[in-house]
Amino acid sequence: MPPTNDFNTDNPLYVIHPHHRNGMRTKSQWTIPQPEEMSCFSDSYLTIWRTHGAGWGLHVINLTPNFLGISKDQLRNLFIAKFVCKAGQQEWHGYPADHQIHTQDRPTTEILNSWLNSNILPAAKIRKISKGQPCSL
Amino acid sequence: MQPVKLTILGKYWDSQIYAGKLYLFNLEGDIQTVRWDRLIEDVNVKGELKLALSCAFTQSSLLYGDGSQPFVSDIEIKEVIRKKFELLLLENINIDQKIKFENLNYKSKQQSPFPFPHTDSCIYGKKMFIGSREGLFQASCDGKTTYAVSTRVTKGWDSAISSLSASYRSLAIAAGPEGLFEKSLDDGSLSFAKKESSLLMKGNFTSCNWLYYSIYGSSNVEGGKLADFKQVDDEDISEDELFKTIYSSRGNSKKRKLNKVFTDKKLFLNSGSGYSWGNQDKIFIANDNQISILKYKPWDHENKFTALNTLNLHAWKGQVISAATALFGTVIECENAIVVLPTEGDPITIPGEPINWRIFTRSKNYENQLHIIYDDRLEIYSFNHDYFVDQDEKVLGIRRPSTFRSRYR
Repeated sequence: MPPTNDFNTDNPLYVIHPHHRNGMRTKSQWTIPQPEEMSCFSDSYLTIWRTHGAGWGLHVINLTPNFLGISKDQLRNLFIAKFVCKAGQQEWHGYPADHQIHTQDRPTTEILNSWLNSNILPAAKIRKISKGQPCSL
Repeated sequence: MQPVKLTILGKYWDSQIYAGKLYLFNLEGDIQTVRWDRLIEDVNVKGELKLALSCAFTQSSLLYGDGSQPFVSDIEIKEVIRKKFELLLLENINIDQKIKFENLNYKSKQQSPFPFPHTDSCIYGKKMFIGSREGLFQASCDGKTTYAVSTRVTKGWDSAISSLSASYRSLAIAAGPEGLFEKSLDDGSLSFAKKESSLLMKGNFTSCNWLYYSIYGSSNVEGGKLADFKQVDDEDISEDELFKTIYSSRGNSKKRKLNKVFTDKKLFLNSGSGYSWGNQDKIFIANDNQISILKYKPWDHENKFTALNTLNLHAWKGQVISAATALFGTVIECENAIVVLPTEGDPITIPGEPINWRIFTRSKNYENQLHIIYDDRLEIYSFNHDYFVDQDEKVLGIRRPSTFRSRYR
């Protein structure tokens, strides 16, 4: 899927990163098709779910978050996406975030508060994500 | 004996109970502090049940204290007390906050001065400690400020925190994959000038708790670990060694030094992998269909760990998320339910996925309570069977503490 910069704000460039789609066990892997990965990013960007240079996304179907990836050890289904961009640039890529393994893969308090206020995830799930506890949908 | 339940309607994130006040963190990011003792006094029950109500919700020390032992041991008096709790069970105690709280607010409702939603909270030495994705925060709740929780917040440490536990004038911190840390509270400062010097154990910890003067870190991904401390004399510590001081309630002090780190695989050789945790004199591991239990005595170098029961249980209500052990029994959070294994009687399953839950094992008067928050209410369970259980022989709860207790006051 070629990169696209067709967004309403700031024209960011999103790139599909091959490391998260090559089946290797060194990084988490997307399990949703590339167009849906792009949609996840665009939704995240437009709702301004981003702080401190990182964006956070959910794969929402019929108002309900769904799994979007699998952990690198293939033990956990993942439902949070993290989007990062190179400093000073507007080129973004994303990956399924494993909140249990990496602290940096837990959304910030501000993002979690936003999800809490919008009822997109139940408060019980928000608590488990913030503490790095197992959390399924 | 089933627990007595009190329900407070409302939308909450977290609750704390300390020194006669109930602190409610609501989902809008506010803190509402309620005069807890007065709220219970106002609960409408028959006169003959007032004592049971008080023991259940505001003064468990009346029946756990040393002075009560002759009474709870007496066969006739024990049955009278038991009967009162059984009658109290029949009362359906609901608190509608709109009606009750207006008259019982302790100072004004306030916007939480901490990051919200936080990951954990604890109150120790009249200070409230909050852990969050952004680090560690502290504010006074000594009643001397305009709001119940001071708005003058001190921040220490920038890394994400999963869980906090305070005892022996120290704060144990489970910092996820960064490890398990201990921070002394003696100097009044929250800053971690040398982060590495406070690291007790490497690992990925989501929870922590104190076992006397040792600390257990629980993990959902790597297995739990025990930081086993021993008491030492001053001459046994070199200048650069990590040591902590234990203060007794009589004001004298001893020193403790990290002895060794034990993994749960080493502690539970035949139990397989699972979720492990510890508190006071007990260490547990839970896997798919059983719980194994160790008794822990850090001062006994010959028999520090003693295997107790292994219990076979029915299928869990989903994966084990977390667990903790109180005087009254063991509480296990599964994906879709909380299971309480009381020190006497059958297991109690409380269905539903909670927003949060908490026990207060180091409290003086609320150690028999379990708080569980759901979408539209806080349920406070009070367990009152354990007063009559042999504290030395019981398996599923921690032992009633002795007179010596390290407290920061």
